[in-house]
Amino acid sequence: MDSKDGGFMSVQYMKEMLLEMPQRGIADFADVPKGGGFEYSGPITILSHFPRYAAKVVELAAKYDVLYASSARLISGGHCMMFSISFAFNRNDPAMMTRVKHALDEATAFALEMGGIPWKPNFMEQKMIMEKMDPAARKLLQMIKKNLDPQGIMNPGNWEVN
Amino acid sequence: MAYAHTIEHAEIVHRCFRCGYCKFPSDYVDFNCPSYKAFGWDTYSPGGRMWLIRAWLNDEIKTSPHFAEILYSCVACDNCKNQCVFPKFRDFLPDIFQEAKAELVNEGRIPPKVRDYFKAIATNGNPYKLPQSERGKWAEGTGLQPYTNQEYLFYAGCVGSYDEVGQKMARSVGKLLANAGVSAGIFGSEEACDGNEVKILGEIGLFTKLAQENIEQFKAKGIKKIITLDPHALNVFKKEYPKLGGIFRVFHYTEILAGLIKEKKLALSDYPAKVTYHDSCYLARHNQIYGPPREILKAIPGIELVEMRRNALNAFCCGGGGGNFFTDILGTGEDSAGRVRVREARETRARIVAVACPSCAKMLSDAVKTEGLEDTLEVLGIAEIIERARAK
Ligand code: SF4
Ligand code: SF4
Repeated sequence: MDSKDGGFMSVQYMKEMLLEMPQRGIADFADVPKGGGFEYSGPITILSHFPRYAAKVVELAAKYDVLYASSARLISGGHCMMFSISFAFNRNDPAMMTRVKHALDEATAFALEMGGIPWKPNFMEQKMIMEKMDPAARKLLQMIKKNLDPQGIMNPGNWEVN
Repeated sequence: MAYAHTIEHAEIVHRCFRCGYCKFPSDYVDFNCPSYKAFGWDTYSPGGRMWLIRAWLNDEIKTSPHFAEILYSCVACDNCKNQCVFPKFRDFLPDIFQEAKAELVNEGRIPPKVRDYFKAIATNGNPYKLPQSERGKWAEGTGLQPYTNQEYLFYAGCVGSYDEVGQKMARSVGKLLANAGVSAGIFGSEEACDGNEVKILGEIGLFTKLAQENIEQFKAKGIKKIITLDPHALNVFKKEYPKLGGIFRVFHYTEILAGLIKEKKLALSDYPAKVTYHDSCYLARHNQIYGPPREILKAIPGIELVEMRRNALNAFCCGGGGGNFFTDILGTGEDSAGRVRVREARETRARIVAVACPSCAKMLSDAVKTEGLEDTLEVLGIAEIIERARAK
């Protein structure tokens, strides 16, 4: 944090790993359940919430019987963090894939409850954000979308406010 | 899980994460999967191909000419096997691609060019549809004799026997072996196709027949040691024939020539030239023979050996593997493997690209012409370079 380099947690070995271009280690996680997949959410949140996020990931992994990986990345000089929550799954095991989906949805609900903002939200996360959004803000989004993209051709499926 | 199609490794196909490392060399300088490089769609990359195969196994997509073309655009270069992030799993990538092609063969849904290749081998014994009696003509004047209990069988293969560029390479090697007094003989018109490409293209029945007949012939003639011109033949003799009971000691000609040079049985004089060496996939990645061709070039006084950006384990294929030499599914567009490779060779400022495989020689020679580099770049077999150094 002192270096204010916008880097990662001050665990040196981890920093090196995360800065590797590209990050092969991330793919390794997908192969733990032999596998081929993981789903990921990375809410931006305040730093002091770290312990609660860490506990929540462990709790969800136990509840849904799935494997987890998580890390925290400091944003800029440390005014907030991106807390990544990943659950690995086996693409040959539909039941495990459903459990991962539920675990991730619950993690997103928790992040929103805690005031976090999902980073690069997937479809479900977008839906949950919009449900939680202030009605006036949602209306503003609707108005912008309608005026700028009346035919619905810009990035269809993303941030569909209707 | 029940699949709509059957392949031996169906139970691990889902493990591909489609992270994409497999299409790069280890330093990520360019795309190293020739089929992805040529077409630019993820379905043509190893990972994309894996997901496509899985969807096909699960009957989510049907067999189609386009699907078959994608599978047959893999040139079996083995880059993905070395670059995939998952150890052990990655060893099976080429098997999975080959098994999927074999299933297409079983279904009778293969591209016409592949079907024609099989037909030519089954009918004529070679892909060129030329008479068997002409198979040994390349050896005339080399000093090589028919095989009669010599120490080695010198096996030329289809490309070395029938293709003009391949024959040139075979003749150079033959002359050097004869001049150095190596006890080697050839089968000539009795030689048959080794079947490496037949297997890779998925015709397992035809491959087994070819291999068994060759093994019987080798055994009947008392063959113990084989020198191959073609790394493709070396590969199948070393890896597939033992599974069918054919155990022989197999060498590539560059290994033998490197030994002869070391033992001073081949005198070399000065040949000043800047040379780059193109690793054949079947010699290098498939069989880890990287040293001998380079040792030979380094031993020739006057030769400056310069490496291409991608070399050895990371070398970029010429596009001639996996049967593409005959089927040409990769095509000859700007990003086709041969053309990319000769441009890379040109970057080294070398005036000769040395090759150790007749298919590489042909693919790169054609690419040099297409790229208009005839005046600046020459493609030569290692033995042809040695001959030039001995001509003085
Ligand atoms: S084959 Fe290996 S490296 Fe390539 S996408 Fe699949 S898992 Fe990743
Ligand atoms: S073997 Fe070579 S051509 Fe085939 S998928 Fe792998 S990298 Fe691509």
